[in-house]
Amino acid sequence: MDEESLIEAAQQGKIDAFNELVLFYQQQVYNLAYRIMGDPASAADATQDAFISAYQSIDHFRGGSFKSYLMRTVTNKCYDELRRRKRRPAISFEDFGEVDEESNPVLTSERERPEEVLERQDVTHAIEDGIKTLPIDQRITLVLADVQGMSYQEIAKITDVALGTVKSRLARARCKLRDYLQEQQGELLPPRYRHA
Amino acid sequence: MGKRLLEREKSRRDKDEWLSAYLDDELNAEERAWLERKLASDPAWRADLEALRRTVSLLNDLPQAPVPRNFILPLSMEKRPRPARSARSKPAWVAPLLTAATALLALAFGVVLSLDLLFVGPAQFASAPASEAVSVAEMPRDDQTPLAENGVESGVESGVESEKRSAGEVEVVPEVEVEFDAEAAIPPTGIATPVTLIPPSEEAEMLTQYGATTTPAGYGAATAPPAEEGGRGVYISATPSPTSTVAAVAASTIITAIEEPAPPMPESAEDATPVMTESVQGREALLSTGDPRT
Repeated sequence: MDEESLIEAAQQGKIDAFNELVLFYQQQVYNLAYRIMGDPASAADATQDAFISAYQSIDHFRGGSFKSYLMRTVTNKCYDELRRRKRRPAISFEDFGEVDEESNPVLTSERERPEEVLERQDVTHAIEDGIKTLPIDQRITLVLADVQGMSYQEIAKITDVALGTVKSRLARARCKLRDYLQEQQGELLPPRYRHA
Repeated sequence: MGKRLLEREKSRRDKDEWLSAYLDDELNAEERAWLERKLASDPAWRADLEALRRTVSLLNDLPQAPVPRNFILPLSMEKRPRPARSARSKPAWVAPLLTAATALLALAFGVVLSLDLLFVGPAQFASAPASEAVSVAEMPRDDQTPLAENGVESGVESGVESEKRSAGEVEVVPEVEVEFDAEAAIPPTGIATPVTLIPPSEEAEMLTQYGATTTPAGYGAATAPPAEEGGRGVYISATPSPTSTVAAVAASTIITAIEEPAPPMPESAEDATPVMTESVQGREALLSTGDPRT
């Protein structure tokens, strides 16, 4: 059954059809949430909430890219959660702890040598920490563009802002992350990632 | 000093946006040509561009995180399918239209009812005794005595009843009409005033207009109508049609005003009905034969 038929069936209330869409898109949706939220537990919560909301409001889906529909839903969930945390400073990102690499096989690979794995983990940590320093709007724009590979137009639609706003947010986010990584290069980044 | 810093920051932002857009190939040909000339002539711009390119590359190379679990929804969350909107379903404008129509009908009913109570109500109460007299007259009697012979008001009998009666009984009615004295039939009270105020021509016109009949005998309010007319003489109110209107109500009001002398009718009818006739005939008999008491 193709995606359009699955969406129509889901709009008729058939949850089996929607679950097929969940299985197809959950990797992308979860990764977007993970890069925005910065920890697996919050990303899983946001992903589950996003699929529930997407199913409950699937009647409002009027065609177009279903992936964008899901990405917008999970982005809004992440945005709401981050803003809620911002309103309650007592809950900080540190309260959720560091990412446990042992329980997160994404950061390891059997084909890589141990020193390569360690080097890549350092870079990944540096990038993730740098992303966390960005304002919410810039963080979401950066993840959508450079992690998810979406176009400016898609980002403008998902975040519901003008195209020019996407450009400026992305430029500022990239440059802030660049400056952050340059500050950390002596300690965290491997030589091949450092400036010449 | 501050102004220079602001201009430098603005210039830096402009440079960041230029470089970021250049990396994403979001510049047009003219802008791209200008930026490439700038990069060729300014090493600082080139260094910033390379740093930005590496940053974006690191982001692109971030590994995909495997999902910790499946996010499929439980079957208990399945929604009931929404019923498809059939073509037979009422359009959205029907409900307010029906509501407005109901409100208008209720208003019209209220107006008619108010007019009815205001104008017709008291008259109906006033004519109630006559109606009761009719019902009494129409009650079956044990002795099956003809009504005319019993001296009950024949003027309130229907034409149908008159037709059912024997020919001898019917003959009494014309005799009443001939011998009835209108002045004697009008009681001395003011109740009969409306009748006297209506000229015979207008009365006949009104009764004819609303389906009732009257006798041509002047102020014959107490006279019985011809049996073939099917009327009840002056006691007949114009029967409103099913499509009764305010005009019909007003018409019945006028006719009821004519009916107002109805209560005294039984008294006058006693004189005008066969009882009176019998008494007249009795007086004539007495005159001719002499009083047996004398």
